[in-house]
Amino acid sequence: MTININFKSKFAITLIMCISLISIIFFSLTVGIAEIPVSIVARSIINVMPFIHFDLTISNNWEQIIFDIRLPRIIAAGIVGAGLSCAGVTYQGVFRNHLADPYLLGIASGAALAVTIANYFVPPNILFSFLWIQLFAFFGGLLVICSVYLMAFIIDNRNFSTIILTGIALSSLCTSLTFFLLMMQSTRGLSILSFLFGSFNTADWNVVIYTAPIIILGIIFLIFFGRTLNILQIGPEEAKTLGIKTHKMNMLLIFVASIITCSAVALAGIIGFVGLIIPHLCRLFFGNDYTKLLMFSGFIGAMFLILVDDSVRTIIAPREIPIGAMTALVGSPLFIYFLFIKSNGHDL
Amino acid sequence: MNFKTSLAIQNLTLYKNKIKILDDISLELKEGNLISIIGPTGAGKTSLLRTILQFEKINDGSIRIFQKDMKKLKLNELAKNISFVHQSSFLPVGLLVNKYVLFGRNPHLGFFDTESKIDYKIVEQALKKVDSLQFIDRELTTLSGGEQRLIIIARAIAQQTPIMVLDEPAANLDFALSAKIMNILKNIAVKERKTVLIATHDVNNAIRFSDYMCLLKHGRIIKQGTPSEVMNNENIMDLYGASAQITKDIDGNTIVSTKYN
Repeated sequence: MTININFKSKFAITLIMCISLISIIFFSLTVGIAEIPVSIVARSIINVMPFIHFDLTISNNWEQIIFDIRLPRIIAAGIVGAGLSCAGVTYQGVFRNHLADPYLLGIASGAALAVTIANYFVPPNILFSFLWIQLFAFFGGLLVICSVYLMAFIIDNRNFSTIILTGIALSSLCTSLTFFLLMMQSTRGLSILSFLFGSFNTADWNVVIYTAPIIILGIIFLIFFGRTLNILQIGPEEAKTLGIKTHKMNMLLIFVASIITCSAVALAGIIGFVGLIIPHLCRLFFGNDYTKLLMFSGFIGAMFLILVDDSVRTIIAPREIPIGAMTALVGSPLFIYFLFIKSNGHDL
Repeated sequence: MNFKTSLAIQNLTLYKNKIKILDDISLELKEGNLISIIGPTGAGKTSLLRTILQFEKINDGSIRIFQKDMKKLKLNELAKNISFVHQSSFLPVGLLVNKYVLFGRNPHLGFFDTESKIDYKIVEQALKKVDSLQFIDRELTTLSGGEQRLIIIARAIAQQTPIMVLDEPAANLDFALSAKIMNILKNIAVKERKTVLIATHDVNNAIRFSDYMCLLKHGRIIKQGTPSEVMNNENIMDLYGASAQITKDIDGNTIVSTKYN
C-alpha cells in the first residue's frame, strides 16, 4: 500500500518538501572546510534580503564564502539531483522498465566524451568557457541519442529492446574513447578524470545561471506530461486508442530528459545512482503516478544530492571524494533498508 | 427502429509480410447492435479489429466512420469515436482502479486540463455499469482476472465512444462471468444505441447476445447475418471443419455442440 494522496495532502506534502529543502540548503551553508556558525549564516542572509536593513556586520570573508562559493555549489547540486531524478523517472516511464536510468542510452557517456574533447580544445579561462563545454555536452549526448534511434530504426523499426541494446553498445564505445583520450594526454587527463567521476567543485554562479534554467524548465515540462506518462504504462497500442501519439510522445520525452541529463553531465560529470534510486524511493513512498513521481523525486533528488555533496566536502576536507562514489556509498544501504521494510509488509 | 450505419468497411484487404491476412472484407455495422466476429484461430479476427483501430495500414479498400474516411481522422478524433479492449491488457502495478478507468477520459481532455468532477462522475457510472463500484479504491493488480476484465471494460465505457471494439472480452473466464460480460455489452448496445464489435470463440454466447454475426475464415467473410440466419450445420462445418449439433434449450436459446463419433 502506498499513501493515497488527495489534493489537500498533496499540497501539504509539497509544502513539507519545500520547507525541508530550504532547511537543508540553510544547513549546507554552514558546513564545509570553514565551519560557519548558524547565527552568522542567518545574519548574512538577512543582510541580503531586500527591504530589511538591520546593519549587521559580518566578516566580509565569511559572506564571500557563503554567497560566492557555497550557495552556487549547493544550488548546482540541487538542480543536478532534481534533474537526474526526473530524467530517471521519465526514462523508466517511456521504456516501461524500472531499471532504466539517465545513463542507459549512452547519453551521459556521449556527453562525457564530448566534454573530454572540449577540454582539449577550449582553453579553460576564456569568456563563456563553460557555455562552450555545455554546448559540447549537448552535442555529444544528442548525437548519441539520435544515432541510437536511427540505428534502431534501421535494424528493427524502433523495437525498444533494440534501442536499449544499441544504446548500451554506443555507451561502452564512448566510455572507452574517453579513457583513450585521457591516457593520450596525462597532464590534464587527471583533472578531467576526477571531473568525470562527478564533482561540484567547478560550480560557481557562471555555471549555475546557464544550467539552472534549462534543467528547471525541463522538469516543469516533464511534469505537464505526467498524465501522458501514466497512460503510456498500459502499452503503446492501448495508449494510442486513448488518443496518445505514442511514438511522438516517446521521442519528445526522451529528448527532454536527454537535454536535462546533458546539462547535468556538463555541470558535474557523471553521477550515477541518483537517477535510478531516487525514483524508486519515491515509488515506494508515493506510488506509481508519474505526476507525483516527477514532482517528489525532483525535491528528494535535490535534497539527497545536496546532503551527499555536504559529506563530500567535509569528510576528508580539504580534499574531496568524487561525488559519484559517495552517492552509491550513502544511497545503496539506505535503499536496501527501504526495500526490506517494504517486503516485510509494513506500510510506508 | 431505424438504425444508422456507424462503421462501414468496404473491400478491405490487408497484407502482412506479403501474406494476405484479410481478403476483400465488406461489413456494415449499425448503431444499437452487438456484432460478433467468429472463426477458427488464425482466421484474421484480431487483424480485422486491429485494422479498424488503425494499428495496421490498409492495402486496399476503405473504412468509414459515420460517413467520414477513417484515414482523415486525427488520432484524438479516432479515440473519441472508437474505444478498444485488448485481448490481454497490460496492467501497471500499483495503479488504483479509479485512476485506470480515468484514462478513458484522456481523449476528452485538453493538454492543460486536469480531470474534473464530471470525469470522476463518469468513472463511477462506468464502474456501476460493470457492477464493480466496490473496487473503486483498490489496486488494479490485486484484483482477480475476471474482476480486472470488468475494470478494463469500464475504462472503455468511460471513453464514451459511439463504437466499442473488444477482442475476446469474455475469454478464459468462468461461464457465468462470460455471460455477464456479454449481457453488459448487449445492454450498452441496446440502451445507449452504441455499436459494439467483438471477436470471440464462444459461439453459444455469440448466438445468444449478438444482433449480427460475421463468420471469418482465412481472412474472408464466408457468411454474415443474424444468428438465426447464419447458424446452421453447413456453415459451422464450413467455418470450423467440424460437424455440429444444433439444438434449442427450454428457454428457446440455440445451443451448438460439436459431434464426434
